[in-house]
Amino acid sequence: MTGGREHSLMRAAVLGVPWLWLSAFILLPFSIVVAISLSVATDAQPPYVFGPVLDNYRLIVEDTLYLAALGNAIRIAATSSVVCLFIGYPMAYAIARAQPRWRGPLLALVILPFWTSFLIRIYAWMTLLRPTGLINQVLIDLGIIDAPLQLMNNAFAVHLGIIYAYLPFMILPLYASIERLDPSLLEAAADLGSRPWRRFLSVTLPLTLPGIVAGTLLVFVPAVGEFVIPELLGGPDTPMIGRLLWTEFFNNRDWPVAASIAVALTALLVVPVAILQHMLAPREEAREVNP
Amino acid sequence: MTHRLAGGLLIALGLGYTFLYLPILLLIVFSFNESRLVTVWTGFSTKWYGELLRNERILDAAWLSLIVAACSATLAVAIGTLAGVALARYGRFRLRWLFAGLLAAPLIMPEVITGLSLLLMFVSMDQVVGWPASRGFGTIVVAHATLSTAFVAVIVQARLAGFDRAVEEAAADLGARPATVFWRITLPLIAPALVAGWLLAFTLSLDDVVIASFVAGPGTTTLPLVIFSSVRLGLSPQVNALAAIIVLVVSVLAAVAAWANRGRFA
Amino acid sequence: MSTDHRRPLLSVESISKSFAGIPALADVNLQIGRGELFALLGASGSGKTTLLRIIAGLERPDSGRIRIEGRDVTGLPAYERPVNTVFQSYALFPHMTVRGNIAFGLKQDRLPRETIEARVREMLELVQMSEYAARRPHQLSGGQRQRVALARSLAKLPKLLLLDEPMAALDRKLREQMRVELVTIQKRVGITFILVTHDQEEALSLASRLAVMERGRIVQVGTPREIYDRPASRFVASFIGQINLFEGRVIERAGGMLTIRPDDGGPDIRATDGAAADVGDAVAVAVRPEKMRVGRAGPGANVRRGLVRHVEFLGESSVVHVEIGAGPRVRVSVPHGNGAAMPSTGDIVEVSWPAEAGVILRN
Repeated sequence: MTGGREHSLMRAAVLGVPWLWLSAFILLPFSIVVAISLSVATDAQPPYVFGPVLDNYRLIVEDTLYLAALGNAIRIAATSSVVCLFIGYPMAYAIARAQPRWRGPLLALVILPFWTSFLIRIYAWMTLLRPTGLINQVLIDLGIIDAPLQLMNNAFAVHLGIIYAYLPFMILPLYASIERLDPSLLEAAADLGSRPWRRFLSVTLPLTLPGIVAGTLLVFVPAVGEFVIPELLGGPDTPMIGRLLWTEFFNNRDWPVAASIAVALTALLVVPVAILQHMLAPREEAREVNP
Repeated sequence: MTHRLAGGLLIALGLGYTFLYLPILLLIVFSFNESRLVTVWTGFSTKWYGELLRNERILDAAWLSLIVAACSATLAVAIGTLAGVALARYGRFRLRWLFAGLLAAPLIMPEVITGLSLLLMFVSMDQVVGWPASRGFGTIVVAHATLSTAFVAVIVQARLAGFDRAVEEAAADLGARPATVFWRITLPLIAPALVAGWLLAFTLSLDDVVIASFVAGPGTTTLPLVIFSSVRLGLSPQVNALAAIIVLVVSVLAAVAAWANRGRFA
Repeated sequence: MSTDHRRPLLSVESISKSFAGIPALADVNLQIGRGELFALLGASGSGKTTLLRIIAGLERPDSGRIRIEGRDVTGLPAYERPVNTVFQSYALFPHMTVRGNIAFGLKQDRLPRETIEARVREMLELVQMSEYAARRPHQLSGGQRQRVALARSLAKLPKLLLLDEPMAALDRKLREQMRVELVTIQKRVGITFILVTHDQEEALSLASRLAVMERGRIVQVGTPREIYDRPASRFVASFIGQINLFEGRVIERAGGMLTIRPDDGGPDIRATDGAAADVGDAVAVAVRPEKMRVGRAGPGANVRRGLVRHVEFLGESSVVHVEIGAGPRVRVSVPHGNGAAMPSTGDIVEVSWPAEAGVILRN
């Protein structure tokens, strides 16, 4: 739309307010994190003195603790994403192929847990997995085991918690891409002699790939930095990078190391994901109407 | 095309929903258990609900959380709407890539990083400009609004992309000034997105434990912080009761929303 | 229809516009008089909608001026121009009733409530939508939506009404009905209409004058009759209706009569077109199918022999496709019902046309 001063004023406001907010509460904080990651920890208040030094980065690269925690987090997040995909794909497919009037309610049932508390859903598993929890009790009552199994505070429980908490994030984008799939494409493939499995592999799967990528990213990315799940369900043998950052900050009061973990994690995780998403995003036709 | 699902798919669906709902259902069942040992059934009782409703700490925290959630959601809707309008309507404005990137950062950034960076910013701001002198209500609201703005912007942008831009042009063509177009045409048309965005932001705030752990002061404890600290120490039947109440409230709200929206799905 | 070209209502002066470096309009000039129903005709991408949006104030030109009644409005935003638009999608406000939609523009002018109500009632009657005043756009059919859009834009009594492909969303039968109605309404309100369309039939049947656009330029302006009978270029000739082209070279010019020697080696063609073609120019002779006939015409007519390849039945007439030696395949429109024998595929026939029927198109 072309037009006068009023239009320019409005444009300035619509752009200006978010710019201010984003600068103050995202750009500035992250710049401060970068600055602190280059600082030296002290006992003063606040507990750092600006360097700039690269000691903190040297530490997190040289001390195997950090790399191990990062590797472990990536491994756990990747395994959980794949399991989510295998559970989520058939569910999303079934919902997308259900009668239209059932799709809404079925989808709502997937989303509903998301609206209840995340903490409480993790707590629910704690009550089930504990040595005196329901699963162990039932197994003992049935005489299958004599002593309680160690189901909690290990890698298994962390996987389970992540899969449970993030499954809806996998199903939603998968559903969206499967639902969009034109059924006549499958009919055409069938008409050309393709059998059901072959049809799935050669038509459905490639065409729903954007949903698969989106769902996997939605599970993988937050899972890598997850803190609550490893804290509540994990144990000493499941170090994860998000929990380590927390420990460095709150328990060791080492702000510079915590900040350098944040910067390193951003560089390793957020930047590649952003690039990947940018590449996968459909090209929008951002025709500038107002020159 | 037939709509009869194959047996395998039905089983997958059944198992999936069982996985999603069984733990929650068991949690609710055991909230009526008399025993303190949560998982050993000794008899029906509603005493934990009574204890919960007498627990000042939890009630105060719940009240604080609701207010924080309402304030941060309102703030997030205001800023997120402007950001969504900018992205959907202003094409390639200068530094758009940076704008979109900063906006989306909280969506992909691990919560520990968002929380850490906001806290470090508040500490530095306090040193330099004397604000915020103490952390608490204000800093949590700002932090949660920052987190939710991105979600609101995405929803608003999608809604704007979904409707005919000529409608706004028609209003201008009929003599409506830019501000009038925004208030009389654009806002009413994206109202459903604003409601959805507000509810999402409200839920995100009510659910957040990580960011609040960083930016909350010693005196301000939100409900998730209370739950987190008590769950960390072990199981608590009151949390079961709380879970049951939350699930009930959410289900009722969802049912009401579904009823209000009936027939709107084209 | 009276059109005053000396004091135009709208004058478009040297308008140019490009999007991201791609020119959409190049030096467009146009004058439109009061009371005209003017059509901008062109294929998609010809720039006709861009020109319309510039006139409406929804797009700003890179250079040039727009004047309405002599007043320069180039810098005015859409909401300050005495111009209203019927959008292709109709762009009705989905959250308002039909009445609310029509009243919207009047409310922007802060007119008294009684005036608004009276005008809305009047407009509803004009487009015969009075019973639907309380409905919302999604409860209306396509044709009804179009009427509401028209009423909404006319309610402000603009000096100029712009219509962007107003019939595109309607089915064929409704379209023909709406054409008649649009002309009736235009006559009743007396407002100048500018209509953008890609449909030549629509432009020819509705417009008092039209401009043909191609690649961001206006290539011909005239009445439908002028443009149909005397196309100014090969593009206009082939864009509007069917036409047969004989390529050749002018060999003689005498007393308003041109003699053209066709490139295909057939007999010379005579044409009485007054076009400024000189001896030696390469030209094409364009002849409309309905101006040709099968069989020998009167003395002085051009005659060619050929083989009937195909006869296309079109209801009131048939089109006979005749292959002429090494030359072009020509189409001859033959009306039914006047007793003339219809040739059939495989016949050898003569086709003929009088010298006045040929239009000379220069390369």
